[in-house]
Formats: sequence, structure tokens, C-alpha cells
Amino acid sequence: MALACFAAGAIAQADEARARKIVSGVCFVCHGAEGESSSEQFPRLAGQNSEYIAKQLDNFKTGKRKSTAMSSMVEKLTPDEMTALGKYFEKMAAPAQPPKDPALAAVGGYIYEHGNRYSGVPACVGCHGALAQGTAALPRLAGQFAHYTEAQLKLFNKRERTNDNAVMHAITEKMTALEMAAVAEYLSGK
Amino acid sequence: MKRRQFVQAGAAFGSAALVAGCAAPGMSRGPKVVVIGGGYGGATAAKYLRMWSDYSIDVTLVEPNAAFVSCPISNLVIGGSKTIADITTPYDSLARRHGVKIVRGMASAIDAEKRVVKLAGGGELPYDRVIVSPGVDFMWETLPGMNRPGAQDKVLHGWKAGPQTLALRRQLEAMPDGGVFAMAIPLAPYRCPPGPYERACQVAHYFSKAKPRSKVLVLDANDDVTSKGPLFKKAWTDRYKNIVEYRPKHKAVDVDVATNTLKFEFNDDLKAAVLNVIPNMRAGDIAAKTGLATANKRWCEVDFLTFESKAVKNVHVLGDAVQSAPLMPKSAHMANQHGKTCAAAVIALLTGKAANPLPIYNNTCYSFVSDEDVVHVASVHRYDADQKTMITVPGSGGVSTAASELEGRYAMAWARNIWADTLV
Amino acid sequence: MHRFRLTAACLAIALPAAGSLAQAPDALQVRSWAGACANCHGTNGNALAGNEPLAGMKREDIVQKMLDFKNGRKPATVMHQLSKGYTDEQIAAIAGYFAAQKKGTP
Repeated sequence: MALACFAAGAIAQADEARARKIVSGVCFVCHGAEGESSSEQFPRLAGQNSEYIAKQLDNFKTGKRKSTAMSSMVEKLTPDEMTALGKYFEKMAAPAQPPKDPALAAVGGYIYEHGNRYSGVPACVGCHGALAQGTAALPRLAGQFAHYTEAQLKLFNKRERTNDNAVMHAITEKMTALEMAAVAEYLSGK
Repeated sequence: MKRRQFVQAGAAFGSAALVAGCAAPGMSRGPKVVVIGGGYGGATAAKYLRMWSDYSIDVTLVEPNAAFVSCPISNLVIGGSKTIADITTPYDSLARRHGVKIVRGMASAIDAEKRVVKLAGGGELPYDRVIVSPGVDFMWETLPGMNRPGAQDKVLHGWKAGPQTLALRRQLEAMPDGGVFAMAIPLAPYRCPPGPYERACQVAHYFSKAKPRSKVLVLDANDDVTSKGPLFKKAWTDRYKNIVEYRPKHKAVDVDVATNTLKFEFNDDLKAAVLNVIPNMRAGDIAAKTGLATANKRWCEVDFLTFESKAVKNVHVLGDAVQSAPLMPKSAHMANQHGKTCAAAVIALLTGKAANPLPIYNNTCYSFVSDEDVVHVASVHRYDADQKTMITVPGSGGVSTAASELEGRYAMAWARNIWADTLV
Repeated sequence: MHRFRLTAACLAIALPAAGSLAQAPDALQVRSWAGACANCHGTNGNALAGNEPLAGMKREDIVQKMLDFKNGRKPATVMHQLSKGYTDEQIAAIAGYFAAQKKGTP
């Protein structure tokens, strides 16, 4: 038993070292050395769910999620490396900061928890959780840059985000520009 | 304007191939431009002359090599992480897609009065404008020992990609572990400022994996590394500490080829297992023969709006052969930019119009410090009407903060794209 | 017969002083400026794998990205250094050129 644990520990260490090498060689310029991200243009990966990250990397590689920037970054990644990268970023501390526009964030908080029954927008909390931490399959939204979250909502709305679209398109279809901005603002401070 | 059939000229030099690809009938009634040299400058100029004139200018490209072999990335062939095929592109797309007529051969002279290019081996090409992009040739007179029979086959420069690239790689493969690879760098200006230092990294990388007791000696005539100095030095210290030794102010003045010994102006002789001597260089021979090399008899002064020679009318010069503007490097990227700028200007001039008064273009130069990690230097150049030359735009440009694999990805993307832009 | 033609544009621009442009850039000038991007982004902005294709991209998107590079909002390895070589007007003109290019093989 002890040997298996030791072996598992050694493998985990090797994975982390491999992930760190990839991050410090390629990902760091945009996503930061620890996934904290250097700019709101690029999503924060720190604290993100590992399976979700691995899936996105795979989707970028197969082209299921279209991105001219990301497709060349992932072309050499193996499935093991994608898993390792997911685990690497999941462990990083998700930086917290209050929203820049609290009033807008408050509007977003209402929509996040209750949806908009007048227009038919479901509550995000139903899938993404009360703390917006998501699940293994769904992304953590808490602490993500408002600019990035809002951009993704718009892309889902227009079906230009090509993966994970079945549910998200139906949801965002009914969201107004204000609601998208507000929810994104709320999540950035969670 | 004279019209000659130069199909016969093709037969005159044996294996030459004349590939004619006309895009539409009546093509030969357009103005004629001859481009001498199918490198980064000439091939780009030929393609863009066709493209940007809506395929109405008759363009003939004179080039001795059967295919294009790129100097950028060739250091990785020397280091062993890429093959010669990786850096080779055929010329036929220029003919097929763009209707450039390709004459395989060399220009021996330009008759500026009659406006013909004479071909070595016979034949003449009439022109309205001629673009000379001859690259560099070596000043062997500055290394007397290199003029002895067989010397240049034994001590290689590897500064024109192709057979020498492979031959230098073979020399390194054959070298026993523990040997010394000594590279002599000439005083600036020379083709590709960071090239030698990148080569030092590539050879050191190879040694670190395959011959760890071997050494790379960089003997630099210059006072310091001429490009990306701190970045290269950091790579040498961090990655190749016991392998690379950099010695500035070592000006090579002769080579004893029999004993593989370098002789310097002020320093002791140095013997090495493999010598790589990069000689002083100047504009390609055709430039000197045609009176174009006006600066110290080495480089060709041009008008930077049109690249027309300051010495000879209707003759334009591109690339490494040009007397550079301030801070303008002799690089492949730059030669390609010259090609496009000149093509646009020649098209304008051939219709009696003024050339673009404000050319703006850039240089982005990637250097591999290992087989994967890369650093770059970038600059933006624009024409200054007061100084009548290209200057770097204040506040722009810069170098990498550090080497990274990410930049290595971009470097290969650059290579793919510039090869396509130049030749496809 | 193929007529030797150029897309017409007023080329009678007074030589600009110190790089500034007295009037709007003409089409051929913009084409030349945009041509300088081809080394990385492909002929006419049709990039091969590894770099962002620009052909057919929306003009506002290119302008926004270039300005983000220029003012440091968007970290980069080299674009922040290159974008600073151009005025905002030149960027807008070049972006317009690429927006009008056809997407396809270079």
C-alpha cells in the first residue's frame, strides 16, 4: 500500500513539474505563471476546475472550440499533459477582489440567483452553484475577469463560441446586454 | 524597347530551366522588370511586382539555385533539430501562381545604357527597370590562407544556406567528444547580426546532449555581442555554462587551413577541431561589377523611397547588399520588406507616378537559444523626409524579456509565413 | 489587351514632415503599409498556422486589438513593440485594408 501511495505521489509530482514547465514556457505570457492572468483579455485559470480546463484544451486542439490564438498553443499537448495542466491551475489560489461597480454587481447578483422570470432567463445558480464554483464539468465563474465572462456570454448568445453551446446558447439567447454585463461584474467580485 | 527571345538562352547553359508562366495573353507588352537574385529580397520583389500590378508587368527572375534554402532556421539544421528539407522551398510557385519567368543562371553584367542584363553563359534580358538583390559575397582577400586550393571546402562559413549547412553539420557530427568548435565573427556590418550567436547556442545545445566534454569558442572581432547581447549571454550562462566561451575583440586576420589554426590581429593563434570562419562580407559580386557598391566599395547606397541606386539609374538594390539606414539590420525579414517597398515604387515609377512618400515597415528577428526556446528583437522603421533615410520610430520596438518556448512557436510561425509570403 | 493600370489615388501629397501625414493616406500607401505585416500574418493577412489571420477580420476588432497592444492592455511578446510604431490613424487604415481582404489560402 505504502509503495502505491509513494508511486502515486511521485507521479503527481512529475505531472506538476511537467505542467509547470509548459506553463512557464508557453502559457505564462497571457495567463500568468500561476494562472492569475496578466490582463482581463485573457481568462484567469487559477482555481478553475481541472476537468473543465482539460476539456477546453482538448476542444481547442480538435477545433471543437475555435480560437486562432489557442489552437496553435495546444497542438502539441497530450491528454496526460492536459490533465496535468488542469490539476496545476486548479491548485492555484483564485485571487479575490471586489467588483469595480458594486451597483451593477448587485443587479448581476439578483440575476445570478433568480434569473429573469419576466424574460425567461434561468438562474445561473442552478448549474454553477451558490458560490459560482461550478462542478467538475462546469466552469468556476467566481473571480473571473468581468471583461472575459461578458465576452463569453456574448459569444454564446451569437453561437460564435462553438463548444458547450447547447445549454448556454439557450440561456444567453434571452439575456440583454445589461444583464450580461451585470452578471459578469457580479462574478468578478465573488 | 528591345524584344529578344531568351528561350534560346535557356539552352545555352545546360541544365538551366526556363519556366514561363503567363497569367494572360498580351502579357509581354507590359513593362519589363528583371530581378537578379531569388533570395528573400528578389523573390519577394518578383512576386509583389506581379501581384500589385495586376499581373501586367513582365517579370523575369535570375537565380542560380534550383530551390530556395533559407538561412534563418539553418542554424537549427547545424544543431541537428531540423533537416535541410525543413528549410527548402521550390521556386515553381512563383512561376505557376504569379507568372514570374524564372531563368536559372547568373547575371554577369548589367549594361545600364542599353538596359540589358547579360547572363553568364550567354544571352541577354532587356529591362525597363532592374532589381539587384545579390546578397553578400565574401572578402576572401582579408584571410589570405583561405585562398589556397581547397581551403574553402575545408574551413566552412555556412553563411549561405545549402550544401555548406549540411557540410558543417557533418563536421560537427564527426568531431570526437572533447573537441573545440571555434567560430570567428567579423566586424559589423555583416549579414544577420545575431546569426553567429544563435549558431553558438545551437552547437552548444547539440554538444550538451551528444558531446558534453566539447567546447564552443566564440571569437568575435567586435567589442561585444552585436545583437540581443544580454539575452545570448544569459543563455550561455544558464544553459551552456561549461560549453560556451565568448571572447570579444578577437579579429581573425588569417587561417592556417592545414592545421585548422586561426590567426588574430592581437591575440595568440588558436587551433580547433572544427573551424567556422565567417569572413568579412560585402554586396554580392554583380553589385561591385556594375558600379553599384558606392559605400567603401562594399555596400550599395540607395534612395530609400524607391531603392534606386544612387549611382546608376533604373537599377534598384535590395537586402543585405544595401548600405543600411541607421539601426536597420541586414536580415531576411528586412530584405523581404525591401522587396515589397521596391515593388510598389517600381510600379509607381513605371506609370510616371511618385512613389509612396512614407514607407513604414518593420523587422522582427527571432533567435533560437535552444532547439525550442527563442528570443527576439523587433523594430519599426519609417521614412524621414528631413534626414532622407529610414529611421526607427521612437518608442517602438524592443527585445524579449526572456527566452521562451512560446516565442519558439511564434518563430516557426514566422518562418512558415515569410517563406510563403516570399515564394508562394 | 491588359492595360497597365493602378487603382487611382491622389499621389500628389506634399512630402510629410517628420512622419506625420498632411491628409488621409491613399489606398496604395495603405496597401504597402499592410504588406509589412505579411511576414508573420501571411500575404494579404492570410496567415498560416501559428499566427492570427487578419484577412476578413472586422475592422473594429483589429483596431481594438492593436490599440490594446499599443497601450499595454493586452500583453504580448512582440505586438506591443510593433504597434507603437504606428499612429492610431495608420492603424485604422491598415485595419480597413485587412478587413477588405478575402479569407483563403495565402
